Amino acid sequence: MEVDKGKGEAEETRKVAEADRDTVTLKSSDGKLFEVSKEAAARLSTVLAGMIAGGSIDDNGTDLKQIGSEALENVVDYCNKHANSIPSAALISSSISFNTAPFKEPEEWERKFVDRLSHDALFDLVEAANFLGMERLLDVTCHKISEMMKGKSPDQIREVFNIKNDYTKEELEEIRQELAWAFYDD
Amino acid sequence: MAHLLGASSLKKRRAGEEGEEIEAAAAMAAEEEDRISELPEDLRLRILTLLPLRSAIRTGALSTRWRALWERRWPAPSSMDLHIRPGDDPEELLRSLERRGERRIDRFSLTIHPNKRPLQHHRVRDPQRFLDYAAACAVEDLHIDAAGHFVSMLSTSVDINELLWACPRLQTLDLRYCDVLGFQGVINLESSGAHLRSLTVAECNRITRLDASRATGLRSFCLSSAQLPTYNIPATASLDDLYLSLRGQNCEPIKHWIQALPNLANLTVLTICSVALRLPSSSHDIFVDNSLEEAEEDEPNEVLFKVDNPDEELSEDDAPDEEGDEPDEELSDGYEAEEELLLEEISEEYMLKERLYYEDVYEENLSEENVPEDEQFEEDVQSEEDVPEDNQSGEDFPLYGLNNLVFAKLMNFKGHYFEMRLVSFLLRRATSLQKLLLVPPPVGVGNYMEAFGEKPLDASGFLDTVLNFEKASPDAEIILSDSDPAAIQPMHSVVF
Repeated sequence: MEVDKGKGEAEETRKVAEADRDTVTLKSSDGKLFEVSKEAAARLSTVLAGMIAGGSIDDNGTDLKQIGSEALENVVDYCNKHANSIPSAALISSSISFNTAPFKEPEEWERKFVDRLSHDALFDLVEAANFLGMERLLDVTCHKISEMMKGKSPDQIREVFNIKNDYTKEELEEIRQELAWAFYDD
Repeated sequence: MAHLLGASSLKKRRAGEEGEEIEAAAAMAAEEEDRISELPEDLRLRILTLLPLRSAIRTGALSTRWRALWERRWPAPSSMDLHIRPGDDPEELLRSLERRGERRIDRFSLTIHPNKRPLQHHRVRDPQRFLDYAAACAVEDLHIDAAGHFVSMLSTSVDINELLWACPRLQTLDLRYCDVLGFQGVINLESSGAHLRSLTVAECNRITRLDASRATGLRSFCLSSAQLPTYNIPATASLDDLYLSLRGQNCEPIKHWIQALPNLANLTVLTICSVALRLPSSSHDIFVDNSLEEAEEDEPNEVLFKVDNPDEELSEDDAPDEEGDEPDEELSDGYEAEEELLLEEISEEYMLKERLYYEDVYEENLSEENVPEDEQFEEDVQSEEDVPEDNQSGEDFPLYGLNNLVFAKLMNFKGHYFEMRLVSFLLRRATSLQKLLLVPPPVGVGNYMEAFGEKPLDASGFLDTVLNFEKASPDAEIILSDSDPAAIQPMHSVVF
């Protein structure tokens, strides 16, 4: 549902992009256009904030060649939802700077937002958030990934993430011996 | 990066066609690509940071790309507990802090352990640098325990106020045994404002004033000093926890060294040590009263401390809060009467004798208050208001609510005049009192009495007197105990 909304907005964008100065038009690597509120973009993304402040926003669609359309759709979707769910003033005053703000547990809607993503979509979104300097979205997505690792054995984690074990048996044993307590099953 | 993102978005689209609704847990299994190991290191560290330590350590066994990565993660609620012991090299510590960088710290605790051989200075040349580091990391809880060695080790350049301005997120400030902090002994907590939840200033005897007038969120306040610092905390602060131990002599005429405390309706633990019961007309302000007691209260009460000027005695009153909209007036009425009363009651001779006792009392350990933790407590210390010998003016005073006081304990109980008056007051007012525990000072501490030609404390003597006091609660049990019953755990476990 959220995705549909995102697509709808993208189509809207083509018609109203030039007229509407409150929004920013973003172009994905595969040429799709997305529109996002300028305020939300500036607030949630340090990179977009810098671009807006520096005047390097293209009304016809700012190229984000590193981000695929589906990831960008999720980014835009997240921005829109965020703008609706949290009063901007509270958010701004609560974080002195992104680097020093404490990690806050994802809110219910944020959990849902990442829970519905496929494995790949989740990682696409992490990378997009990283590229755009979206600290909060990084927190939420990294939290999701950490949840997928929590309490699992190395074998289980490898399975979930398709990690290839390139240790030799001896190396692995060494690691397990080093901090054996962490490898005991609960 | 570009390549990676482009490739993955294609894959994403394929996954999308198969159904966006698929739970991530189900979708993850089929993929072949190791997306997580491809993430930049700082992102992987970010993920590891969110894991419990045990889970984080396990990732070291995943593959060579994960080996020991977890060691560099920074725990999310980061806490730093630094101890500088004799022989430690503070410079080395500072270097390791620099390597860590200025990432956020929630809790920063610096303990400077005393040197047993003071001639061999282990000098912490620039403690300010540690504190500045904590401030740069936007510390929330700041604890500094210098074990009384700030004077010798630290220059006066430690400016706690400057530090506090740099810590806008500060929620807890805990200063112990730091002698030189702040400009002219004033600690200004204006900058922390509403974030400040807990303020502890213990045995920082150079501090003469504590200004936290904007800390409306203050919940816990602990002030312990051999001096009599003034403090200013907002009247709207709703304290859960209050610990006051002010036992020094106040050489300077400070207008109001104890102000009216804020709303104490939510107070659950209150400890007061050696406050009040002053002898008027003595040349020094002497504060005695090692008596502490606790009460269980179901109804909120208000405890007010108010001294109009330093030449009058201190009174602590517990006024029923619910109807008492103007406790100040009520108090001051009671006050003047009390003052007169006291002057009448105490002869010069008596005062002299008491004073000898009390001056020694300062040297002893402080009293402590013990309260069962599962109960809600409010303490009421009442001084000078009630005179056991004759109740000539007792009826004139407002009846303060002690109806919920269940348990009271008085430490270092020596049965002297003011303590007996306090006991008498408690017994007469506390209608629900079940237990009154009187704990005499440990053997050997009372030697001063012999030094002044007094006989050692005869507990049975005052116990008889106590047992004859009028009791509002017929079931009240009075126990004279040498030992501290294990069942009664101190709520304020740390006593300064």
